[in-house]
Amino acid sequence: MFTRRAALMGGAMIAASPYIAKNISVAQAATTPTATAEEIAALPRRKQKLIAPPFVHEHEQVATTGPTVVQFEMTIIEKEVQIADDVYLQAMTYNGSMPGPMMVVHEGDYVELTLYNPPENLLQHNIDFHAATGALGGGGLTLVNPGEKTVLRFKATRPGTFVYHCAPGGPMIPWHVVSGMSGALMVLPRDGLKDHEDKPVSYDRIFYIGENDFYIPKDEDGEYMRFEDPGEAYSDTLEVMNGLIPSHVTFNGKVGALTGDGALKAEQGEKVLFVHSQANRDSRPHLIGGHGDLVWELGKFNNAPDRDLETWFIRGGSAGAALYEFLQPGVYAYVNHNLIEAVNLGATAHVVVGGTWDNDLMEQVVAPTEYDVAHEGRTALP
Amino acid sequence: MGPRFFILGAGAIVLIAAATFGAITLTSNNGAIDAPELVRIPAGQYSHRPAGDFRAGTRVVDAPLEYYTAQNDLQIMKHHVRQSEYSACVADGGCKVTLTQGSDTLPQVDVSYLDAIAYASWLSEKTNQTWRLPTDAEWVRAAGDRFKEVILGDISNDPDPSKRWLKKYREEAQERGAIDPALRPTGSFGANNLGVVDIWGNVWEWTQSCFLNGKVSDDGVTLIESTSYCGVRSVQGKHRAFIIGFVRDAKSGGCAAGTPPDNLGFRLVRES
Repeated sequence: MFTRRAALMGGAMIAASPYIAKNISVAQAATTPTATAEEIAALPRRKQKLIAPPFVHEHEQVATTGPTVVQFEMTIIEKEVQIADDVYLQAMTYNGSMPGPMMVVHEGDYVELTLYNPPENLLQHNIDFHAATGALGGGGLTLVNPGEKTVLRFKATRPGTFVYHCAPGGPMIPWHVVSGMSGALMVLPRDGLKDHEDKPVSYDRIFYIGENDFYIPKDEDGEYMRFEDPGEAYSDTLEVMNGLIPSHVTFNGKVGALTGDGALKAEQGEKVLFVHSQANRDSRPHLIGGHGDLVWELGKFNNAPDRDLETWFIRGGSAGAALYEFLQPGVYAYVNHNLIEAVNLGATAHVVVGGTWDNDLMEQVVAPTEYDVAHEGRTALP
Repeated sequence: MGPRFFILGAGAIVLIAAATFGAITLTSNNGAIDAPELVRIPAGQYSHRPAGDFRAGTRVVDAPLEYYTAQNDLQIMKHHVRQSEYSACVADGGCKVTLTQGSDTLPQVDVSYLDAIAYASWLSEKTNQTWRLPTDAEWVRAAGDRFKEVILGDISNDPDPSKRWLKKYREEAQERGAIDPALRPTGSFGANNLGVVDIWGNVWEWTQSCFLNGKVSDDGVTLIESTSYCGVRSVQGKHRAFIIGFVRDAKSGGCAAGTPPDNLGFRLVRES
């Protein structure tokens, strides 16, 4: 039986065994057969409703059926959104949230998206799926004016977490992205996720962390500017964007959105999959007090996960995934470990974890107490 | 009032009259503003493909060729609006500040559609005349022998969408050539057969025509219906581009996979 692990090791084995090399090409070809229009039409179809981040619609981790056409709908909403205290953005959104909702399918499924641009919007929009092949990720086939809709179908051929974003041409591309138009698609292997030893792993919860960098202009008095519509905001925003220094970096579209009442919740012993997407700018997620047990830093499940990471890197324009089992109760901070961005610009989420403290993992041996400055601490330990 | 257009029967072949009219200079009413030099484009028959995206079923096709008769001559600026002219509007409070050196000879670029119509309304007020952006069809009339359109023709019938896309990209890249986007004095790119200068240069021009999404008959000949989207206007030059109305510089980002205009400027028509 050919396994993914064999594929991973294939590079080393090819020289020794042409048979293996041949098997690899057969296996790869088998995963992406070209279906005819009749075959696609004969596939089962399923409508999947999307839900707002940081949550993800219900889905099977291991597919129990064959390839399916999974139908999604998204409506583009242009609206003013408060992204911090007294700071407002003329946002452009998929389904009204920043990031846009996450979609989950399995490798070999077809994603069929109906994209609506309601007549009350001002601008043209489209969608570029990093998971899709051809036509600028679908961007070339999905440009919709206000009042129009379009339907795009593409085959999910590569398992992994992928960004999608708006890319309506020229200088509109970066502006739409930093106005909120990005999200993530996860293509799971049909037989689910595998660890570094190719053994099945699963998650009890999934948290979808969409990171946005915002570039809000300031007026002559140093106050953040507020605009009537996106067009009015364009030129001032462009000036800030071209300086490459964001005014805000947020998780879930607003400074503090995933803290306090919005904090994420988990239980000790639960395995949580964090999917982190950033459509525009590099980030470096870190779970303060925890780790990444298995991390697909690049987000692509055909690559074996890294283990025991402290911080992982999300390249701008990609989504990565990290699996972690919470071992201690308490409050964890999930941050972009450029700490200026985490603390001063907003890139912090909290995870509140219930359970029973494990003194074996950590114990406070001496609580902070005054010490005798004359006699203690003058020499290092022997 | 503007010229009135009539759709003639499709299929007629119309040759655009190539008569050259001398440029005429007009005197302004109040003397404060030098009236721009105008070129008169004669009334008569012409053909035009509407500006936008057109589909027969799901296939993207060329815009259908339509035939019109203009009842009136068209009076259009010989040159692009120059920096000194635009600066006068800014100084007078009629136009928004943009990048300019105030030059007497260089065209004003870095202007949006909104900037261009603000200038037209300011100039109208100053001259007691009616100035406006040309429609896409009027621009095509004025472009005379310098007008060339990317017609993809039979390739529209290919169900493979990449064929048309690749051909369009190649043709636009070829036509755009290796021109330096640096501004040159108006007139540097020469006059067309009608006496209009710099049609074939590195300044693309705003028109007032909105982007159209149209359905065409299966044979590609007849426009069945269309809807217009005015957030985007047709911009004309070496090829037609569609630019959001508040954008001043379309070259910075480049189209994701297209050829962007080098510079955005404009010229106006005067209502007779």
